[in-house]
Amino acid sequence: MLYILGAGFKPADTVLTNDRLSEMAGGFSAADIESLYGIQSRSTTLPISYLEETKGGNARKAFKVANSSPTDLALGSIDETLARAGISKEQIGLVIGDTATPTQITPSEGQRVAGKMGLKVPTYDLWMASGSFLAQLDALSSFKPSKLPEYVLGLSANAPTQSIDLRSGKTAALFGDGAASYVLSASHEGKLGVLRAFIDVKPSECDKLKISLYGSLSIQDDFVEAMVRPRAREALERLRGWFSSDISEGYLIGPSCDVVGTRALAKEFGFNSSRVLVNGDKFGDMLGTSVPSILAQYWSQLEKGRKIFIAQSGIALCHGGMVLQVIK
Amino acid sequence: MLSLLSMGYAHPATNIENDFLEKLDVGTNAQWIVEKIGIEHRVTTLPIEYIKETRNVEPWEGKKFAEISPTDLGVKAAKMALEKANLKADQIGLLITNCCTPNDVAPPESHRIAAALGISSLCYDIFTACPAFALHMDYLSSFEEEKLPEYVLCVSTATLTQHVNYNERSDGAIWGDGAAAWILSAKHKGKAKVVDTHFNSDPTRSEAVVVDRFGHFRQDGRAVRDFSVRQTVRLIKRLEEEYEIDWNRDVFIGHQANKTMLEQIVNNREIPEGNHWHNVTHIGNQAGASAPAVLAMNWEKLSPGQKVIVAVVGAGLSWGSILLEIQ
Repeated sequence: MLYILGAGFKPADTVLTNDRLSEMAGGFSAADIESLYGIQSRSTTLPISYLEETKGGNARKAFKVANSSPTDLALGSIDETLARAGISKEQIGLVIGDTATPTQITPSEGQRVAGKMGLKVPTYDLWMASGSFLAQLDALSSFKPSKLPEYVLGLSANAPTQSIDLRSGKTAALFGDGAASYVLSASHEGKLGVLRAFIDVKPSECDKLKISLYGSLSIQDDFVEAMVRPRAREALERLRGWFSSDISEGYLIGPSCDVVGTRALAKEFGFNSSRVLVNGDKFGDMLGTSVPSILAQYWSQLEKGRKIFIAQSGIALCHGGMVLQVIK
Repeated sequence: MLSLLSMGYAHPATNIENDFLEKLDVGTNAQWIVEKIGIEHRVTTLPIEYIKETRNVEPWEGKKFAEISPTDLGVKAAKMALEKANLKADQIGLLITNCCTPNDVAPPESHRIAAALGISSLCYDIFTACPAFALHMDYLSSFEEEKLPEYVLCVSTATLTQHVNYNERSDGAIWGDGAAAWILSAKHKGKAKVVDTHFNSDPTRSEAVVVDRFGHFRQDGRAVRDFSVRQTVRLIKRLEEEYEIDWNRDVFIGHQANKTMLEQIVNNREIPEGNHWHNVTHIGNQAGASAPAVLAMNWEKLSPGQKVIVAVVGAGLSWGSILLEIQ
């Protein structure tokens, strides 16, 4: 079994509230965003003054004024991760990174972060945007035990607000910046164990949400309503098929761009509302960062014996799901 | 054990000649390029007139003028590999891709290539730039074989010429654009058995080779060259020590960074020129597509009993090797 021994999270420092966003963007109200998506604010690496002046949409300019980079955020999450895992960085034998918003297109994000940590270990990126965390854990769960080092550091670092044009409509409100990291092991038991996962993709839809290398983030206007929401439901149906008796006692993590949908799913499927784990309401959807950031944020509250149902849909991920066991 | 069933490659048609670079008047000349780098010409996805007029100082403009994208090249290479394996795209159970020069940073390149091919199975990027061939092989060799699908398609594609500042003396001489693809199976025997794989990196040196997202390629040339030669020799030596390698029979393929560097390596290991396969002299450095493209272009020359050592180095800094045994 693959275990998650520790997780850490670092959101960007600046908070952009719905009120401020709707004043800058126009076209929707703060109440609209909250009622549609359940998002009240999002974290951003950009100065509010820059957004007020330019309304965003130019990643090249945003990069120059950003207060921090995805790499900075990833590094900010590491101490918490290692402390919870009870290891030092020297014990890490492999680093696997992820970013959909790199500051450099070579080398990989994992190599940038590992380099700043002073690590000299095999390092590469396994990335699938919103599906990265699921894909990383699913892959490592399929490795021969002899091929996995004692401890693996995984990380996801994203700053999609640097690519968003506030004038693009209500979907500009969905995203936030942040990074998460996690220590994995197949040889040491950790707080969380990976029980089962699945990932379905629909590459034919790869134009529905994309981040241009030099330009902005473009997204189908009803991406959440038409794609994420129904597909997260399908994902949860599948997870329920595996572990139906554990739902009422389990936790639910849904897509962070759709807190409203996640809460509705929880009610429909019989999750206790106190065990619906979200942070998209505060930080926005941070792409591959979101799921591990939620695990990190709720880490100390996760109760032994319960299962965590993760139902996801998003960029590069038609739908996917994972069930974790809280072991310790 | 993994088998390599087939390979494909793709390169654009436009040549950048050494004489052209000399006429840009940036302090280089054709003779210097051949003596120092050993490249006679290289291929590009950019119009030659665009390079002449603008020097690609603003690479975001280059993307608009580029005649072919990294996705297009990757798809072309993949189609060749599929055809040679006598497979249809819907038989691929996993697609992994490496691209250091994407047109979009999300979704991953694998999704764009999968969409173009009509693949709907799992796909994601496994990325380390130049040593991708070794990384992908090592990554897939790490799986429990029963967890791998019947056929896995790997694609590495790069259009570094779109990220070069042609005012820089040597950068324009190094890079070429290209893609390579290969199909693997743990369930079906292929032409080449994957006997040994290795991948490692030293991220503390990750700033030595960089492509800035909003800028150009840059590198610490001397440090990277020294590292490349030393590390490649080490990779070959380990395989020579652990396996029975006969350089009169077996083949070496290195990272196609430049010919003079490769010559240092083959001289060190006493590899006859006929057993050293390369394409850098007329295509340039195609980053992660380089070494697999060489193998793909020479696929029909492989003979049973032969071994192939691929040793690659590059950004990260990362490096890796593959030992194939031809069946």
